[in-house]
Amino acid sequence: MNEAPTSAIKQFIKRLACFALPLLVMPVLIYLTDPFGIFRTDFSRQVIEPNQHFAKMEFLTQEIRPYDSFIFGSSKAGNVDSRKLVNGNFYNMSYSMGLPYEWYHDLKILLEAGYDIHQVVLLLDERTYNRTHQMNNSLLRHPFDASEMERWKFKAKYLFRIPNFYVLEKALYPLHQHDPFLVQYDIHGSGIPFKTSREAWVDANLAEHLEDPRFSETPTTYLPTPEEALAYIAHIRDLCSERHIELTVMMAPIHPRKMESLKVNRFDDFLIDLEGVVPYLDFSGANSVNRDNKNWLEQHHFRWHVGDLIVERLNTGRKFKDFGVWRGRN
Amino acid sequence: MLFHSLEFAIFLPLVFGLYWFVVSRNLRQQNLLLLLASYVFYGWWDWRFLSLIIFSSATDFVIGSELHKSTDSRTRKALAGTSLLFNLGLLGYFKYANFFIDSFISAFGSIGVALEPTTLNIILPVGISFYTFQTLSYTIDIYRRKLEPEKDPVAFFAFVSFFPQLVAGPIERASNLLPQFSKPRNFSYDQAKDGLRQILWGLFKKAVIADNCGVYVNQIFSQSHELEGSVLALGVFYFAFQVYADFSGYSDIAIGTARLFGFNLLPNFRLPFFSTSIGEFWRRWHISLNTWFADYVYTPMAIGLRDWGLYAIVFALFVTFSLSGLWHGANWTYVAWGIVMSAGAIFEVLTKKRRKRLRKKVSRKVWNFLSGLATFSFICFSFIFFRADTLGQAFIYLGNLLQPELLALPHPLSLAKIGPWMLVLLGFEWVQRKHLHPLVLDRLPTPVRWCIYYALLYMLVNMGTSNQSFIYFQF
Repeated sequence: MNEAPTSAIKQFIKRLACFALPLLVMPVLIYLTDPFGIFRTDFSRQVIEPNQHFAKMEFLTQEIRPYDSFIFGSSKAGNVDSRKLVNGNFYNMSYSMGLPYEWYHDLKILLEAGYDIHQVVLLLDERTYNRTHQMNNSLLRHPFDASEMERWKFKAKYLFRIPNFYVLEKALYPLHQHDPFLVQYDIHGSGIPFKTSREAWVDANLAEHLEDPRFSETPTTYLPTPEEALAYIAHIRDLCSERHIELTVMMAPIHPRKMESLKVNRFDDFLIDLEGVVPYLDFSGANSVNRDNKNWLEQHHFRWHVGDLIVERLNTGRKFKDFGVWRGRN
Repeated sequence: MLFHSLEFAIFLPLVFGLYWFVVSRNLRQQNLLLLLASYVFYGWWDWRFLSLIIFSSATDFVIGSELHKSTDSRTRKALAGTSLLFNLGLLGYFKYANFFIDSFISAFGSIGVALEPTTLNIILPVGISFYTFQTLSYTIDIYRRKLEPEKDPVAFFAFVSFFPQLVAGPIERASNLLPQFSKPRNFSYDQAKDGLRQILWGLFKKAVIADNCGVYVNQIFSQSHELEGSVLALGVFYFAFQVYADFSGYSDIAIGTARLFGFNLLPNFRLPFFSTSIGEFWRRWHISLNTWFADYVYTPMAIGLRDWGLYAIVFALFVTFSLSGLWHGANWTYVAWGIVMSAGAIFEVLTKKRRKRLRKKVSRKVWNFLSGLATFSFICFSFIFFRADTLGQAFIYLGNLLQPELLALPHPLSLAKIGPWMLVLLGFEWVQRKHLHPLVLDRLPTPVRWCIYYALLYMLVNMGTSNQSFIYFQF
């Protein structure tokens, strides 16, 4: 016969409870501040970038929304004002570092949910070839899962996943502080970020902007991992063909400084391999638009008027100077 | 069920509560609860394979009992042989059938005889290599009259399927674990507290170090044909840390979990990367498997062939390491890894006297540093075979590694991000090497200790990647 539970176990439970108490305060805090917008239904007061992937897919799958076309891409695709595209009612599915693996799964989820999709536009960039979906597991990028259970599991984990201090500080004081460069996102509308005050600042301070040291920084380089991207772009191509969806693939504009480092990491090989998978409109070359820093917010994000040139190209087929060439199309 | 999953986070407190509050007065009920919990834990992956564990447990329970009763040496040999045949047959069928079929077809193909490719549709049951070795040791020890058979089937079945170590060890000896199922278990505050700390350390190693290293390792190995030597060297180095943090992390969680229920499992790792010889490395790495092979393969073979002199040791080392390699997986890469390891061990045996003379000529610290560095480099080199998908890939990796660029700075630099955390891991384990695990910090004031635990938890939830399975699950 064993001994009955003694005071030792009670002491153990008490001590464990004391240790866990601060840990239990954290989920409440996370829920109330909701830094990445996982529980949020109103994004008008979002201070930092939400997990757009999760939030947008949740919005789209709660009920069938009136969209028949989707543009997928990383945050750069957010600077393409999809409301101006004339050949469909577009929703902009851009989110930080979006990847073809995820777009393919999102597309399948949307089709299964009942969306009658006419057009899909993919805006690829350098992240497409040097990231894999396993790397997109941060709070900002955790993907949306079709299964209800997995979504609940993610939400439960989210409550215990502590954002860094910068994020928490921002999330805790959303109303008192005014960030001049605040970006807000029209998650429950077009999917694009609202035009930012950063754009207005650049227009008003162009000379200062052009001297921004970030333009001459050497970008961090990553190991290329093109296999996943190429395989899932091919899957998207096949899925679109099977479901009679018009697919347009584009390579985003890339800043010449960044292009130099990408060339070392065989970005050119990726572009050639991509031609074998699908024809695409390439805006990444050393064209007059990309060479001019007036067209860039920094090395990564082109400005809205550049997005408008892309929209113009899609709407009318007209090419602005040397901006954008078709590759892989006879 | 993965240790670092939400399911386990619910399962463990539930079983813990039932164990200490509902059935704590009755040993048999405690064992029954552990048995049921273990079957739920295992069945979560695939309930169909539960029958295999039950069948394996039942066979060895009966054979063990009959072995003990019998005095006739022929009958005893037949019984022990049946257990060997059954357990190894089970392992052979589920783990190696396709491997041997493919190898035969390739061998015949190489001499011009084309055979129809046939592959059996077999799923490898998780943990089969671990629990079959555990039950085998039980039968062999009874055969050798080193162990009394267990009379209580519930205790025996719970011993075979004990959930903390069921799917990836440590491979417990019946002589250590089985008697613990027969003794009353009373809650120990210190043991449970320390168990939790060991679980935390194991989770940190798995989720923060191993899984993050794994992201880089996968990238580098998948492109080994076109990367420069310095990046490939980094890939092997990261893999060494990945596999160590992954498997020793699992062992820490297993040992810590067992301690919550009043059990003490054998340690499985003792700072293996600080070894100064291959032999020492194998006494510090996956200790439970290596002592198993030492007791049941190497020693009987070396003794049986002792007339061969030094060659008996060389032969026994070669066979033992090759089998150990094959145990890890049905692939020639693992066999090659075992052979490379045996070459290292044999070299040490053959050069023992010369090295001893040389050792006297240099200071102890310099000798230990150089031999430690050489051992670690050799271990990393052997891991190329362990990690590669095919022998071809391993040789391409080696070919590209041994280029002049090996000594250049690895490019791109983003690969180095996880490096500092690996140093934290090694440093912390070294400083705390005298303790069962590095989180034994009782000398520190409680607030400091708690801050360390919170910091680890913070890293765990923020730096940990997704629910990647443990590497040793596939074995």
